[in-house]
Amino acid sequence: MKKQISTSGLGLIGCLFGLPAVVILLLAIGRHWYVPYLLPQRWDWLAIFKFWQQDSTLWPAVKASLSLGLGTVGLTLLIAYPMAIALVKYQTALKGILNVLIYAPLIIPGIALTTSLDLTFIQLHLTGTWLGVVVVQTLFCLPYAIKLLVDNLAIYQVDYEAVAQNLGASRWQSFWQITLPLSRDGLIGAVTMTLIVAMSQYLTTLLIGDGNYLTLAINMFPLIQGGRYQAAACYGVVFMATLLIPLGLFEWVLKRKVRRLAHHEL
Amino acid sequence: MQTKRTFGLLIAPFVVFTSVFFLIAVGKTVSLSFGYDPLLGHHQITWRYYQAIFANKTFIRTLLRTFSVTFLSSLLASLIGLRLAFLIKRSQSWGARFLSRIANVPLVLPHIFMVLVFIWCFDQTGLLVRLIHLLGWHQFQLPVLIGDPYQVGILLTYLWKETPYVLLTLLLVVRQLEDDYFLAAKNLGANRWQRLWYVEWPLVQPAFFNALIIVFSFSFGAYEVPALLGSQKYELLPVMIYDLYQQSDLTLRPLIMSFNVVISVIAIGFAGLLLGLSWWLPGGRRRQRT
Repeated sequence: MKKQISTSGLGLIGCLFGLPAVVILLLAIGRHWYVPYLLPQRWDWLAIFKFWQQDSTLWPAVKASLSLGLGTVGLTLLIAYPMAIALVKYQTALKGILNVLIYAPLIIPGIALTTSLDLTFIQLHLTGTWLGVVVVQTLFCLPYAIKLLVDNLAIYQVDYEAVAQNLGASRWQSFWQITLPLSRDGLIGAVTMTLIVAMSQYLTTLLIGDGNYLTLAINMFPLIQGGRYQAAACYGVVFMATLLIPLGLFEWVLKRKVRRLAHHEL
Repeated sequence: MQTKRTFGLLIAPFVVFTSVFFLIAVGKTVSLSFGYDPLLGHHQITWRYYQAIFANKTFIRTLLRTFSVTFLSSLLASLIGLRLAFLIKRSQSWGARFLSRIANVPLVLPHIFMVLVFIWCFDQTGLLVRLIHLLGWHQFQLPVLIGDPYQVGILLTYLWKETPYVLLTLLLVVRQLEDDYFLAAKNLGANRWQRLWYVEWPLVQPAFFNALIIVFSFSFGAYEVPALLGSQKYELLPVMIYDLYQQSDLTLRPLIMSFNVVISVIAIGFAGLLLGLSWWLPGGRRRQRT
């Protein structure tokens, strides 16, 4: 009996965590959702397409979110991946200070870092540019990406890359055929987290982008403030699609590559 | 020699990136906060802005308010997340599996989405009130949770968003725990609290404190949720600083930068304090050394 209660209790908490996605979807496609109704009284399955046609700011926002998000993913991986390999494979006295530098952007209050970076970037002439926004978003994403990659690479106790090189593989071969497939899950995690964090940024994108990059997150803010919940929910659905489609593609490509390699070796 | 060069090459992108952007911003913030502003021709170093901050009662009150709200929500999220992680590990039921999967949802949704959903559910005419009315209690009224003076709405929204994060991070650690220790302690006659305090807590506490620090640091400095759900009379720090910053008054810049330095020092100091506590408690690195 007690076990049953705990099971349904956990299920109920699960429902509470899943509720936000359901509410956003219902808000987007439901109509006549007034007091005292618990559910929308009418449905409009094409609501999101209609909103897409009516609202001319949606498509530019999708493009802005994607270009900044993908740029951030690229820059983050370029910096985080070698860093993670270095941290796992080499014992160094620098580890302490490197860790402080890695996690500092997470610990320093976001508002302080954002306003300070904005002031600095004005002088570096990066405010209002694509590169400026990507750099700032990368700064916020690096701690997550490095942590996920390090945790993943640290699982393998054996230095398989050294084994491969010992057997005559070149550095490039050992990286491409050993390290990369082994860090597949870490890469998927890092890319997922980076894209989520980058696309969710509101204040940093607004300030550093100087209004030139009106992303989905930026456009949603005044909609919620102004009580236009249905429009905000449509933005929400589009946001989820913009986030999940590239992530799904990336995972598919990486898994296929790894499978092909495994096949090749057999 | 070769390995040293490879190591250098591997960390070079990070080191260059961090020094160029992060360290320059830190340096500029600190120098501006002491009044050094070559752009306006101020070359004198002064404590004036720090003195102004600590004489400013509004700032102190806002700081304390922000700290209490965000610390309380982070602590609650961490404790509930920890408890749920253990419950999920012990129970093999569908409820546990469902919860561990669905906890990803709030993780993926940005904070502004959570605000939207919170308003729709907990407003005076929100879904919760409608549900209770439907169940037959027609006099029921929900206290105001949006823009309320005690920031309950902000606290609940953060709790809703951050608990799944803590749950999922701790679940990774909890799942790796061997049951052997627990069973051995039980076999040797340890009671429930002893098993918890001497066996399980030391194994998970480093991860617990890490999660607490990350959640607290984030919500302490985040703008979106307090801007949308906060009360205008009792605003939180990020909103206050952003409003000041937005005035684009060049003479305000040193003051804002000294605000930034003070709250950064507080956040870093508090994270250090929590890390120290974790280090000192059973299971921390201090014990491992001896």
